[in-house]
Amino acid sequence: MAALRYLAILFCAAILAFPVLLTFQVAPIGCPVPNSSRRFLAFCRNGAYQDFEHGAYALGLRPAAVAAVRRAPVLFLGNSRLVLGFSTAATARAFAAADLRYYLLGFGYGETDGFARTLLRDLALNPRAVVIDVDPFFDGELGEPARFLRDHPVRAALEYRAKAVAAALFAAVCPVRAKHWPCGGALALLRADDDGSWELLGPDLDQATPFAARNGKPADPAPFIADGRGFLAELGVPADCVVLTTVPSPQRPLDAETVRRIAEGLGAVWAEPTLDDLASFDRSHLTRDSAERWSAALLDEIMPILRRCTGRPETHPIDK
Amino acid sequence: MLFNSEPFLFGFLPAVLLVHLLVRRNPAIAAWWLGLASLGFYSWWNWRFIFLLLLSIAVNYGIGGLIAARRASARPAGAWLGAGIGFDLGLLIFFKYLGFLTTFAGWRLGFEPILPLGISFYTFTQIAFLVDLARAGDARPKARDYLLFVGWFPHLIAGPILHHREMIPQFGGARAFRAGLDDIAAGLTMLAIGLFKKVVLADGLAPHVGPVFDQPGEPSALSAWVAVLAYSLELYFDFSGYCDMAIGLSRLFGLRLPLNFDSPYQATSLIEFWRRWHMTLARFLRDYLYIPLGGSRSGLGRWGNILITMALGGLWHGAGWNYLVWGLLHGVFLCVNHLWRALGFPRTRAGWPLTLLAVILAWVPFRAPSLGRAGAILAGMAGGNGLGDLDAGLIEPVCRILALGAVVLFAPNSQAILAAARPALGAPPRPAPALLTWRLSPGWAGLAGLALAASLVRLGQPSPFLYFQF
Repeated sequence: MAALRYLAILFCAAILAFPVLLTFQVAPIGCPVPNSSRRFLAFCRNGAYQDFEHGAYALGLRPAAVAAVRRAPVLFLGNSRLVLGFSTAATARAFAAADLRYYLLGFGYGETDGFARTLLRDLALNPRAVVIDVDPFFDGELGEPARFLRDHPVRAALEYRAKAVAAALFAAVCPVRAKHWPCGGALALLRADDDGSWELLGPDLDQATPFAARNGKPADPAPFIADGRGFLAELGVPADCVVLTTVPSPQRPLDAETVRRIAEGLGAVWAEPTLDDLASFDRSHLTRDSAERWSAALLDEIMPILRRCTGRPETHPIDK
Repeated sequence: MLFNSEPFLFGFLPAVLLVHLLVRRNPAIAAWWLGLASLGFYSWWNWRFIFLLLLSIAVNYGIGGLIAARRASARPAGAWLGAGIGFDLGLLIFFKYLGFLTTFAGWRLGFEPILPLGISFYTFTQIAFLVDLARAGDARPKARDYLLFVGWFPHLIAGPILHHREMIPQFGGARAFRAGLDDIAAGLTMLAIGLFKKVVLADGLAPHVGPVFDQPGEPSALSAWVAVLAYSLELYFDFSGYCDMAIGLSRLFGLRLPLNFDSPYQATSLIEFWRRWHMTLARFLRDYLYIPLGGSRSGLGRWGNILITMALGGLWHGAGWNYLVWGLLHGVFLCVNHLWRALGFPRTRAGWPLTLLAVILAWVPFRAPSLGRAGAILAGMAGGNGLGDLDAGLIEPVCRILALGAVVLFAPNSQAILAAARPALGAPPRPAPALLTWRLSPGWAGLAGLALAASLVRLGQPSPFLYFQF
């Protein structure tokens, strides 16, 4: 009888302690958790919190964000360079002027079309036009958090939910815009539910290292085109409503000509404005100023395509 | 499949245990079931090597039968014993040492042999079996019992090294495989302790070891000592945690394994250290190598026997100069220890810190990827690169080392805490103080549940046990 009672207490203690310890384990200690209900802590470079945004969309932990993605006729797909490159006032202005919804559905950890396919399928997305950062995008790979979600679905569901609970607890007790431990100090990304844009917070973000506008290396476009055809078939968007570009970066892998040939092979639109004096704050992502200028230039070029594809052709001033 | 993985803890273990509970009334069926389940466990890692394991078991069992037959008819069995040991060592040399030997000889091997998991453990287990059949006339067990003895999954891939005389008798009789609720409570507690030692304590130390051992550079005294002490603790908690889990798992099935660790860092001499660290390997080396070489009976040859035994013990861990140097270092330390006693010098209180220092220094070549790197780390420890600063990055590992160091140096071990449940075979270690003595009480159940929960929280990224590579 004593052994039976012992076993019962052992299992009960383990079951009760597990969620508490897991929440503590993944707590966003040192991270600036947003108090707003319209933004969430997408990523924080601390001990165990790290990525949240993959789970937020794949597991539906941010219903408002998932609803916004589903509503958006224009999706931007790519990695962290895409999201930071278009998390600009210029992007918001351009789409507001066109009265169009958009969503930056890019992800960190070098995510490419593998995770995008997962979301297209699981969230039943039906965009009218997409802008893809070919960095390279068409490789069928999954980033580390996406692999974790695929390979350990139960564990991932528990961890991401624990992160959501821990972040809510921190948001309740931490002062707004705290900059010091335990409520701030670490590099973090806040993500807006409405449009998926990031706000980057943390130390050493004011640096600006200029880089050459034309870089990247030539590569055989065939494997990218082969993967891209499968992706576009799954996407269900006409090829002439798919815009391929590359957000400038000092670490750009493919040169512009290769990306142009990939677009040509897919029958997609290639757009890539060339701007001088671009700079990066971390030798990978554009500075805020460079992102503003570059996104404005690109959207100037492709907005007519996005309007046409979404059924919102530009009205002539005389018709207004 | 690792013990510290979700597929094992939530899939394999409950399934095997459930079927076992249904069939355990019949020891023959239970033995077959556990033997087959063990093969399934092994094949999870690489199914191709299941054939090698089965070949090894079949050949040893067959030769064991021939030896037993010749013993029964009073005919010499030495030739068959030689054939059996030759086969076992041949497999071991081919898979574990061929690359090392050909590199040493300057030859190029056209392929890279894969080291089958646990080959060192199941080879030694079977060599002991053949030797005892031939030498002491032990009876050959039933095939199902032999399969289970060699393949028993809790020990198969990282020990302890089982002896047939302590395991096979457990497979027979009316009480065979009959674990009661008390056994399950004790077994689960041991499993929780072992899991906690591995995933919380040992894996928590690992990040402080690799950067110094595996990356080039000249470490300061402080960073070198932190890395070496962290490794000394990591290895202990990793391997003793694995053994606690193996002992706990076996207990769930009504079986007891031999003790493999008994607070080795509390040893006051090198001789005592080897009676407390990886005890089943030390026992094997003593009974099947050191004593057949002549042991301590051969005067001056005794020192040579110690050095040969420890050098081969070092090489058992892996094919590399670093393991040879580690074994030889321990051989020299043991010779000094025996000489000290032979000359009648008294035991002093300095024995404990000196033993600890010798063991810790010897871990440097054991862990280092090359002897050159070991030299660089030892030079760093000696202050050759300056003392270094206690910066923010070192505060956490230093605190961890101090806390866990106090545990291994002064606290009773898991076997002593659970002494009342007699978790392992052999004489129980010194009992723990009453406050730390495990009982079937709500408090201990809660603590075990907490240890289990804390371990499960950290299971996200399973890391292999350090002794798997040996």
